[in-house]
Amino acid sequence: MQDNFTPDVIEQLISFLDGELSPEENEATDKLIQEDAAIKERFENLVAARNAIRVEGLRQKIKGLHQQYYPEVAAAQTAEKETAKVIKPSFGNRAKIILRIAAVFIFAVAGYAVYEYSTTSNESVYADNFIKYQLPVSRGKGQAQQSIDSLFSANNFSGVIEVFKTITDKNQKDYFLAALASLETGDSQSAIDDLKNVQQLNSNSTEKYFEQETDYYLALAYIKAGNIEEAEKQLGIIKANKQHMFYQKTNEISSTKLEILKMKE
Amino acid sequence: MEIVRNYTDSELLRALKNERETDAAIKFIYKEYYGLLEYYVANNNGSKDDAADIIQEALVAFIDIVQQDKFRGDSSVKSFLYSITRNLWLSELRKRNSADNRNRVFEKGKDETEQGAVNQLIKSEYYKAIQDLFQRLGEKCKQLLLMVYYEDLSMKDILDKTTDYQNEQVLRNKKYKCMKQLEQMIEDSQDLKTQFKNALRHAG
Repeated sequence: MQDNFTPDVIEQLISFLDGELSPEENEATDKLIQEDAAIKERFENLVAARNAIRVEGLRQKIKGLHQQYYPEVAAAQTAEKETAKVIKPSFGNRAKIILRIAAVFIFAVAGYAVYEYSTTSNESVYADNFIKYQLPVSRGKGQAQQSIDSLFSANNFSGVIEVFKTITDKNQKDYFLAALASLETGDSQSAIDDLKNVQQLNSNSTEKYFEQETDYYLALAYIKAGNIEEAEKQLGIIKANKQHMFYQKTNEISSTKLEILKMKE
Repeated sequence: MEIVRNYTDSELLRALKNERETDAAIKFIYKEYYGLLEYYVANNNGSKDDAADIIQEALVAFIDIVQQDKFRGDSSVKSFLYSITRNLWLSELRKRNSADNRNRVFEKGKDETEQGAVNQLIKSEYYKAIQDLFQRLGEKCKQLLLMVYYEDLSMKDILDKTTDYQNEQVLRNKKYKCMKQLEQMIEDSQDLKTQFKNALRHAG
């Protein structure tokens, strides 16, 4: 091969390759390449170099994308294998159908269980079972009693609590109405305390007032407060007495939901 | 796994020619064909790592063929990719089993469809040897030449992108210098000249 050209010729060839020459220079360079074998060979080196660099850029790009995409492909392959493993056991068609039905049933039960678990709360069980207390009409009461009765009937529960605080000699009814007013205003602990006072007064008296109502609402107050163990004790007292006025209602309270609440405690 | 767009063959080829869609198209290829190609290599005395290397090489060759408008579309993309992977892997096995690595001959395609791929792969081998020389250049040279010939950036774009060059003339001089250096290495390599002649002979 002849070596009869200067490095400037290589620059000229690079400019030709890159399309940087004027039309006249282009034509002259093209002619040079066609007529001189040595120059043609050097130009072919440049073309190959350019193509190799382009492919190298592509290779680097693919390498980067491989790092990104391959883990996803591998994960999909693993998941496919796991699925295949589950499906692989060879049973008869009937067994397959039974297994599928069982699987659907299990999924349905599991789904229901998840739904129940996620939607059951102290507040939801309390609200589902709370019965608004209707005060029976009575006559011949004192002024404070009349006031607390009328406030309760008017659903003015904070008013009930305020008046209750002013009563010096509280009876079972005062405590009971105050307890229900506390439940209505969301203060379950005060309700528990007041209902316990009803029980206390009843235990010391031959005349029992609001005894069975207290059993039930105390159970609800415990549920609302998140003390399910105490709530279950109260409910047990009611369930043990078929004549209890809240017997039917108590049996409607879902024991599953109570178990869920205990698990969530 | 993230949802990957589905492509017909013609959509895929179009996407591979469009810089903005290339990544999504390659992702589709991974999702659809990687498993098949990996299975071929893994079931022919290869490991998963071998498969990863060969599949990447196959993709480089395939995308280059598509971008150079040399894919005739006589076979499906899947068959074509499989054919490239098979040829690359057989070549690799031969290299591993042969003491004379310089004599790399790809299996001749049994049909016309594969012949184009075989020719391209012979050229790819030649380019690979040049890429080894390219790696010997300095970092700045490599970066600059990739920006010029792979990213196809103008001198002005490169000046905006880097702070390495004061002006366009300095940049242009650097490009000449780097390219001349690479060309001289090619010129000085007897092995490359032999490969080049082989490539020309096979490429017809």
